Amino acid sequence: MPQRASVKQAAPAEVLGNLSQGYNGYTDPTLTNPKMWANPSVNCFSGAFGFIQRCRFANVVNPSPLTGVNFTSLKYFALPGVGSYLLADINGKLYSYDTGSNYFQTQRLNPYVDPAGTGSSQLNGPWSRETLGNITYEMNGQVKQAGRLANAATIEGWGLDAPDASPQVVIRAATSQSITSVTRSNGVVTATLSGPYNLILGFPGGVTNLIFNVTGVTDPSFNGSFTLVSGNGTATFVWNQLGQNVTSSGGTVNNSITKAVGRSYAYAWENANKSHVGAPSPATQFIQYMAQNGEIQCLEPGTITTGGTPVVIGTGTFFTPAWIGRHIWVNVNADIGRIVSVQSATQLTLAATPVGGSGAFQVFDPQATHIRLYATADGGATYFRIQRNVWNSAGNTQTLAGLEFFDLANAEPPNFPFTTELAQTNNVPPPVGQFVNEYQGRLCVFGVAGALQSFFYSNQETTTLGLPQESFAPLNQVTLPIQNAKLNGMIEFPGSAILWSDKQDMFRLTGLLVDNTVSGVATSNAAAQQGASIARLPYALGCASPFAAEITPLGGIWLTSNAEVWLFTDRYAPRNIGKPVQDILNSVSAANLSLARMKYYHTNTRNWLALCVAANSATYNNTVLVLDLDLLASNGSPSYFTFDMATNSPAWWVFQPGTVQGGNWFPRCDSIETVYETAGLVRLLVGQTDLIQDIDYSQGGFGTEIQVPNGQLTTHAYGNDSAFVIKRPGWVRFNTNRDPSMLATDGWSFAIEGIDDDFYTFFNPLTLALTPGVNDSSTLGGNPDFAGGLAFRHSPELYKVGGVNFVMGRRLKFQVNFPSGTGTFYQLRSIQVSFNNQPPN
Amino acid sequence: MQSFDPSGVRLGAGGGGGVYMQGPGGGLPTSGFNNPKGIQSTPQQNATLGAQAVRATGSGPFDQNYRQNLATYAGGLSQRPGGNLAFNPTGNIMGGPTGGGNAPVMGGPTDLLTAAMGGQGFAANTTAPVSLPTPTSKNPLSFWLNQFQTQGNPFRSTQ
Repeated sequence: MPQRASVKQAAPAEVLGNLSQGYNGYTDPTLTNPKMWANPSVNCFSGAFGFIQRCRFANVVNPSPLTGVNFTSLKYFALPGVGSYLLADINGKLYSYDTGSNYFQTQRLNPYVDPAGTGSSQLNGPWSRETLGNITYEMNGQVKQAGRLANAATIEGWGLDAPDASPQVVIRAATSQSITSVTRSNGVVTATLSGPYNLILGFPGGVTNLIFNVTGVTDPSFNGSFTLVSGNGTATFVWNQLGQNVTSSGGTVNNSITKAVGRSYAYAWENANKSHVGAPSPATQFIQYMAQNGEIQCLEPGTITTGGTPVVIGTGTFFTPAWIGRHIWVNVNADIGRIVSVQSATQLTLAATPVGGSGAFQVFDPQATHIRLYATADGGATYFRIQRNVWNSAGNTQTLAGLEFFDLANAEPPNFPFTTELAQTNNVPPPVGQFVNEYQGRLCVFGVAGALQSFFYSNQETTTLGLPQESFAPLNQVTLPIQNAKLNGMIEFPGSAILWSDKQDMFRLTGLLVDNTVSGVATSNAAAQQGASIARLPYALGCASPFAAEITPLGGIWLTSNAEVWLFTDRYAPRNIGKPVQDILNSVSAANLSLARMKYYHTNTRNWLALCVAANSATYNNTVLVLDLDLLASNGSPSYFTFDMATNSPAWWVFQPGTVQGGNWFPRCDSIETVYETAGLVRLLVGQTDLIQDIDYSQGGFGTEIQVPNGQLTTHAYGNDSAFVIKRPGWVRFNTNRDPSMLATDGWSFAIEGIDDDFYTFFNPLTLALTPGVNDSSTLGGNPDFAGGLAFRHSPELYKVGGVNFVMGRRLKFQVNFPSGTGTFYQLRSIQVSFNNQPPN
Repeated sequence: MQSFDPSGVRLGAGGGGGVYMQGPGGGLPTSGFNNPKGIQSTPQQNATLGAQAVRATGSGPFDQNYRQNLATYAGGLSQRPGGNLAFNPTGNIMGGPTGGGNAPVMGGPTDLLTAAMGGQGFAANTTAPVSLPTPTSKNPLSFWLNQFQTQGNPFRSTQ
């Protein structure tokens, strides 16, 4: 019959628990405590829950084909009711990964630069992206584009370039035909003419929506300008007009326009697929019609000739490099291809050899679907839309292509065919920049070559038709007084924006930005920018990269140009919250500080800020520094976040995600993004060489979990507060979440470092390795039955110190080497240490 | 003294001068534009106001597309002496820089409306097809009185 163990007085012991203060390489190691982690402490994290858990990584995406280079930037993009995607770029190609279909890969093709998707250095990342109105807007310093629909795979221009030439107008003498009788019945007017009448003689087919004039009818209610429904070329004209059912006679139908000062025209491209209209073309001269009418041809000046080569020769042309990426339409041959280079005003080169021929031509953006024609009143300054054609790049005549309008109407605004729609003069596409941020529903572009101290913002009030976010009135720009610096970061706060330079400048933008137009400056918008103000903040803090600034629930956090991490609440002075990891940040070379990437990551169990840096002078990001925002919030006063670094520092975890290459762990994390999957899972993904990896594979999800061979914790020293006493532990117990009998199988191992400040120092401690199955109390108990432990007496996680297991010191540090396996959460709960000779039994 | 026959005034490729807008390179497009759609048996006299380009000159700051858009924005309503307008949208030809952190300033060349109000709009003398009712091929007296009152615009000769 088993006997109850004899009762002994419990050994003097301590439980080192709640070891959650994270990595601290900043505070003097004689002032720290075991709740803080020393170097090396990698690929493990803690939190308000108290235990320490080894990271779990999973490979989510391998691009096809493999490239040998890294994903330079990642961006989450989702469409309501359609899907949730991860946009990525690698090796000059753009991809989307559908989170709802196991990250199925779709290549995104830029039709202006690389329509075949073979890869182009112009598409190299990193890309800066913002999503507004279900369209993602992207820039990389070389190219600007907008992606929409599933996978953002429909890539179009960010805005529509204005036509760069006024339309050609052929002026013809007017004609007319007498009306014999005219009848209106239920809104349909039928006129019998004195003979056949062709409104546009010589244009036999393909012309629709002819507008003509009716004048001099005995019943004047018939007079006006109308769209012909049927009858052109016959003696019976039919059109629609609301009014009483009456009959009359007399008068004429005609195509005659007479103006005193004249009528001017302009036209613009439209993309009806996303309801955008570009800025208008240069206007024509005011045409002083004298019983005439006009045929408006939307063409470029001159003619072109092709034949046998991709080279296009112009006669009387004004080719411009601004056309690169767009297509050429030419009379008879229609769309002859994409322009890849422009050599001179009369020579350019297409992507492929077109059909030979010559003729009038037009340059167009493939996204265009319509052409809008504007005209003024007689001597008017305002351009109103009067007609709209479908643009058909396959049409081989001007008429079929939609490039031709007939203005036969003598009307004046607001009468038909004038509409109230104005030419959208300020719908100017943005300049190409490197970075884009959203603020107050506007897109702010910066990093623009030649204007590195300015940001350009998109329209709101002056775009009355089209997409404001694709329109940047040329005066919508703000230049900061930052001497030789450049604008290098922007975060939108509730009600304000913070802007940084790459040196030491920090500004606060408040109030409403307004569209700032030329006309507005002098007239109604005299107080341009009245609503917005910019104040320089007195903090001498710059930003390392626009990609390393992020808004969080606690405020804006950014990596400064001095390699520090600061928090700004927009209410109080900013605080340095990166000191615990400052030693790692200091190891980033200044040249590679701009590689840093920052992302906020929030799930129901995480509240992290993740910062990727190129630590240890690497030339690529290899370390993710994770700041636990829950612990940060609990550490400081809600508004001030003041810290005593020696006792209560911000909690940082150090991750080194990567892969095993040649038997060694190869950490890399070039880019980072938080993804909200279609099914609701939130994941923190990093991009590296031919791989996108989940670095918090705690909730499952698609991907292949990999082993993590270097999960390791090293506590700061126990006994710093009593270093005058040498501590000689009697036993140590590492309490984990695993059944102690599994520790050896799992692959756990532990160690204690003794520091006596004399012979054994922080740099050269006395180290005692403790390995389950080798020198734990059960294994050394001599009884095989003890291998699985013995209730209340021996355990595979309990180590007796003494004899061959010797360690002592004024300060003791503890190491935990986590298992590398997959499929399991490996957690350390506490470390128990006793200074008695015997463990309890 | 120069003789002047109003009925002889015509617009055409490379013709005229002075206030008449020229096609690029001094002439109008020659590829069928002035005989659109191959009008047959139509003795109709058409006149063409050719397409006129506005072009950005110079290089940088900004990408070429944006520079061109700036030029179109700033010069789209301006007169184009010689048929087209080319200027540096970030220079100071137009009275002030239009980019690089400074405001684009409209100004410089006369705008189209002002020119038209001054009688320098585009006017063409066309003859209607003979097969259809047409006004007289000669302008009425009131027209020429009007021309006299506007100092001959828009038919002022440069010779």
